Amino acid sequence: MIKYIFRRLLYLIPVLILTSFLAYMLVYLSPSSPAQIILQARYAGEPTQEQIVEFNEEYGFDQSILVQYTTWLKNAMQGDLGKSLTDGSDVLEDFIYSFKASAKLYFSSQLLALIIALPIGVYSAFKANSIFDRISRTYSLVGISIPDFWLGMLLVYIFSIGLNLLPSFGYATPKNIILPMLALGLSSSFSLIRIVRTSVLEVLHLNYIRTARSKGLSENQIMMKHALRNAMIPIVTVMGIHLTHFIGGAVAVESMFAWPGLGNFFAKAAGSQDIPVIQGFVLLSAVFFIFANLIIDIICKQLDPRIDYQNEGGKNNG
Amino acid sequence: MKKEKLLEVEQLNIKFTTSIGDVNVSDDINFSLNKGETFCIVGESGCGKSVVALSLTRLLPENAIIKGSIKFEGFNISELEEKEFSEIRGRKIATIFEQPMSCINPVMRIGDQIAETYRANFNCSRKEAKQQALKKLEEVKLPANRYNSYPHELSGGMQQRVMIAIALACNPQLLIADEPTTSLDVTVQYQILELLQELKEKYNMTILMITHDMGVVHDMADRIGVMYAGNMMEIADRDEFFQRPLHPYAVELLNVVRDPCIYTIPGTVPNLMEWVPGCPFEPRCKRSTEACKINKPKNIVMGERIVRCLNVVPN
Repeated sequence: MIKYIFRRLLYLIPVLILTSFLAYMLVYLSPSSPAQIILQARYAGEPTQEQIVEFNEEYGFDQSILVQYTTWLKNAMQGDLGKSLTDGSDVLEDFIYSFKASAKLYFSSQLLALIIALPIGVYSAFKANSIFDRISRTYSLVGISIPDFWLGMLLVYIFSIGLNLLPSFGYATPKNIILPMLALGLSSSFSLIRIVRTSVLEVLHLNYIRTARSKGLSENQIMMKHALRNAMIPIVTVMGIHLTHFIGGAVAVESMFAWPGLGNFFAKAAGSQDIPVIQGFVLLSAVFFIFANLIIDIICKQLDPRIDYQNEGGKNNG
Repeated sequence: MKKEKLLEVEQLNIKFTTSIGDVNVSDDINFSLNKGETFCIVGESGCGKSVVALSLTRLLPENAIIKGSIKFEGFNISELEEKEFSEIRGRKIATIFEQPMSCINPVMRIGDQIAETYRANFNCSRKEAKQQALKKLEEVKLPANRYNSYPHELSGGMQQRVMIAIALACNPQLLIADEPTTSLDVTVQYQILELLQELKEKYNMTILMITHDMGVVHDMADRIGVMYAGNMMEIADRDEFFQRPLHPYAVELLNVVRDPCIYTIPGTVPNLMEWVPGCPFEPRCKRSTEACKINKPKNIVMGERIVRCLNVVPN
């Protein structure tokens, strides 16, 4: 296992070189130059040729791309990802700040989704085609069809405008997290209910559940010890795939509640062509996803002893 | 001397309700098991033998409707509440299935699966349960260090040994073995049968074995029941059965075994969704008469033997 983790971490090096290179190059594919955009915003008008040259010299845009890339990479490895072109703040600090905000929102909403979806999904599967199951299926189908930001607006309408209980946007107080968390958590729970129901239902029809019954176990024991553990394997995998929501999926909700998360920050930087911010965020997100995937794989391995990371594809078995 | 009966099944009718109609898989089946004997139910695939076996411990899916009386140790267990019934299941009547790979939990250590059975039925500590599991591992001739193995780390034969250890964890009086050797290769089959025989003698167990393999029947059975299309066609002692089968279907079955390369029974198994007024074997039967098409044969009892046929094969 340790050997496997070490090997996975070694993969990090080529992946990071490739992502950083792509992140760096992609920005240069955009039609307008950074100097043009930034100076246009700064002076509220078409910049002169001298201003552009001066700007390019100041930020090193006058050198060849490869030189720029290697300088940037060298700095990045020392933890210096440059400064934002729009407000001059440190990219790494910005990332850490918005990462924390994203993590708070993401993990609390996913936890909420699990707390809602596990019992409902399991009970639905256990009493398949009962009235409870029908209601929960309709409920989740309706829920899946509702976009998360619309749910957010509904929540704001009820809790902020109607009942005047919770703030409709902001980040400062602990109360602020409740509405965006509800919006994201509820909308993830709808699809999670379906996934939980399907995977539990699939397991319940397998032969080893019949064996568990023949051993004289109670329905509770069968559920907890045999069905749920096996059903968790696909559920964890799906939740791992949903991890991409950490950045992309929450953009609408984050900007709606003015939550300073990664998605929000990234969208803003992309809009204003803030090249150092985009590059830094892409690189750090890649690092994050590699680690997150590693953790998911380790959890899956703990749940399912049949997964063999040592001989991939069982090539040593035949 | 009259033999003591462990299990008596009377008028067992099993029906599955499906979206395209009802399926009758057991039609007025009667049989009984004497204490300490091995009773084999034999028949073609789809004749309902596994369903009959699983119905005894209520392991059938929810769309099965079971009618009839099942007496265990003289006590009618077919009307017990689910809670009382689970006291018997696993503890007094245990089951082993075919395809052991799919029948043991893939993500649980095999030792824990054996210990779990013991703990579920007897109030005991984890340590005692583990002791019992280790003892059972030894009885099925698996080394103690396999306690922590996962099912996928074992061969098919070893998995079936685990299955047997799970079933025998509580020393049940009755073991239902549903095609225990079907998915195994021939040498392993022999070892598993030998193991079952050995454990049966050690614990004075009664075995109800479901199989379609006449070789297994010949090696293991004390008595035999032949099933066809949900009907118990003949019940007889092993020796009598092999010497002189009475039901035309049994005769055909034995002919197939004696000459497996050339001899086949013409026709196919009937569709159990279609109700037939007469004998279900009539379309394939060499001795069929007009009466067989109209009248359902009744059980003819001849001492220990029971035959369900209008034209029993003469001497």
